[in-house]
Amino acid sequence: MSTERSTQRRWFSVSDDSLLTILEHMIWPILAIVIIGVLATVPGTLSTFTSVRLILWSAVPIGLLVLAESICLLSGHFDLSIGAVAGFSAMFTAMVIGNAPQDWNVVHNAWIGFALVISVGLLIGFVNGYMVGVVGINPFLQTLSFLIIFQGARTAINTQPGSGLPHLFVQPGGTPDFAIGVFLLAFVLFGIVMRYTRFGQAVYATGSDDHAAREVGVSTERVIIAVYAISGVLSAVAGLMIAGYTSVVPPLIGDGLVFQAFAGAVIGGISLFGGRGRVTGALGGVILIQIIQSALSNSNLVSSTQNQMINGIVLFVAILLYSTQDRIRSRILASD
Amino acid sequence: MADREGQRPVDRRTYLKVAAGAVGVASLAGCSTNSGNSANGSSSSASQSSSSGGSSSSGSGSTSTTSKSGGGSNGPYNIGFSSYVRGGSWITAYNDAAKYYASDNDIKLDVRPNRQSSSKQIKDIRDFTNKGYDGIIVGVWSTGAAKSAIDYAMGKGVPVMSTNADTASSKIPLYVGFGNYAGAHKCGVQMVEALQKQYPNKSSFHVLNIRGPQGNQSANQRSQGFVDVMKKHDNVTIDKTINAKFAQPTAQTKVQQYINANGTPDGIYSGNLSMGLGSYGALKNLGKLHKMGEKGHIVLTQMDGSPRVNPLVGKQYIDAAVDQPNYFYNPIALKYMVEYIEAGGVNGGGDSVIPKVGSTVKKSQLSIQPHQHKGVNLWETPIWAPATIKKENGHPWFQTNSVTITQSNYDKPYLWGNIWGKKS
Repeated sequence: MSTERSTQRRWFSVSDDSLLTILEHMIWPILAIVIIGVLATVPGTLSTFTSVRLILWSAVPIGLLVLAESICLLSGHFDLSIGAVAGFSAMFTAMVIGNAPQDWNVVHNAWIGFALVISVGLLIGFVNGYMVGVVGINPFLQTLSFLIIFQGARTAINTQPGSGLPHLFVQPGGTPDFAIGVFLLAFVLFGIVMRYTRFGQAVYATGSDDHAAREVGVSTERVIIAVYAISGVLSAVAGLMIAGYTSVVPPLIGDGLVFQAFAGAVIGGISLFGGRGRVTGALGGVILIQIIQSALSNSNLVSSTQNQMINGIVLFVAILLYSTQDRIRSRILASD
Repeated sequence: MADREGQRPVDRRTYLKVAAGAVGVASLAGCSTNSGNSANGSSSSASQSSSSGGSSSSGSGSTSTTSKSGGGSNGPYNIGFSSYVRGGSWITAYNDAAKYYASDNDIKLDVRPNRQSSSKQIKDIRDFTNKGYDGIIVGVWSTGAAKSAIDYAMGKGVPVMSTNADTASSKIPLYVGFGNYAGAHKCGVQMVEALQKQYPNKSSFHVLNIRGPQGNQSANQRSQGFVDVMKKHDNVTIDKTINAKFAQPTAQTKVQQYINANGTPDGIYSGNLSMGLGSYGALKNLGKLHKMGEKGHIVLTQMDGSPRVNPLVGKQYIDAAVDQPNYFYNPIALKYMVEYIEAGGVNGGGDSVIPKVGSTVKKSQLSIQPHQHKGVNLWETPIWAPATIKKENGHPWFQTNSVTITQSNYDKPYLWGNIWGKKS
């Protein structure tokens, strides 16, 4: 009798573990279903290698922003300023290194441009992190104020496309395979860092319960500063990629991207409450959104007036799925 | 979130609540997703009815342009100008023209930036009124929001005219700006002509319509004008209307993915400068960019010229672009303003100098005296003419003509992109 009970318990335990694993990676079966659906209804969207490459190429900037937001979310924080940081760092750099009439014409050097764009992102991210982690300002208010400041600053310095950029400066974002490589590498790198390093574990610990994290010796202030600094750098690289993608810095660069970044992270299974989710899941979220958007644009059955609504429905369904996932997860863990 | 030393505990749910409030604050601060989208790629919430959209603000305070010498009028008049501010070359052209004209014509112009804020603009209009300015020119930031302040000024006997973007106030004597629908209509005509020229042996054509956001009046007009021309030609089909949100990267992504999935269209129309460059970039990335007349050339027409677009028209990658006479808007308004004041103003016979609704103003009927500015004889070519006087929002609308940029005029000095786009 006791052997039977023990076997039953073990079977349920294994079954629960499997279920938890499936829930943790739910984005991938969803992505597979969506791909099959797209192949059946709008085959041209994914029919060739070029099609896939174009989708991934256009996903690069938003993908980097999703990664930035995901890391912040995992630490239990938010960064509303990512789009503004992407836009400002790119526009500021374009004004410094560009040689178009509206530019400042300081120095026409791509390498200085790379260093500058990343430095600007890093600096803004560091200040965000310091204000949130050390000074204790609410992250929403802090990053919201930076969103307003840097979106305004970007427009203040230039309202026309930032052009006259050195050829090399636009190469990383303008070369599809390189840009996609950077995008995938960033996800792989941060996937490893978040899963296998002390820093990654500290981020999860801070996001899960920062009081408990401090109790076990995690310097949460440092973690928060680092997380925002990383977010700033990734946002700046996203800005660089947009500049390369279009060969100029568009005047409205970065506008509205923060909402897409949140959507990508949430669809990818990153918890809004911190401490749960996988960076690889966020990658799945980005790809899912891009495939759906591409299919909607390519389909002659869906009018442009319906696109936004359908995008919203996809997000809503994803939120419902994850809310159900949360409930199932809590039930399983409670039954243990 | 657990408490920090010396701080009150704040959990993440509280963050979310704060976020909800914060999003509200962001909206009030003008940070909503679409607030920055306007027809010509610069930022203006007035784009709902503007001919181009405005710009954005960083500047503070006001700048004053004083007359150099007396003119033929009873001036110098004190005119307040609530405008977009310095930034891109489109807005710079729009603003510079006002300052140059004021300086040339014995008008004291007090320029105040609206700082992307309706409340700032309202405050400035009321301040101009209370200080007894002779007239006010407004580059309207928000069509509806400025109405009360404009009505207040008109009620106090201070005439107000709007330029570039219209106001909802029915009381103003004149609005000066070009017509989005008319411009898009021209692009449609150019598209059909270019298609027939490029493909003389083809009997039917397929085109894409790249437009701005639905719900944005400017975007709707810039799309509808084109669509209506296509409807008149049975052999032209719009395969797809794509909403690229007035943004270059969005247009580039959607156009290249569409073409890759569905094949190459014969022509692409883009509803503003940024989307036009996006369409151009998409063809370049796909290896489908060919000059006019070459095999495989896809006809490109678009709204808005610019320092970047004009050379691409010259190189025959873009077939035609329809541009605005933006550096004429404020001079025309200032000229009528002076005449309006001298004819008796708001409570006198001011309206007698305003052209009648339904009439046409030819270049012989309105002269903006050319002067040397920016290295050219500015206003020498009256590209605003002929203008039609329409009724919009209950007041007269001086609807200027637009300029079609082609290979024959892409480098002419009367295009703002060639004046303000040059290195100084």
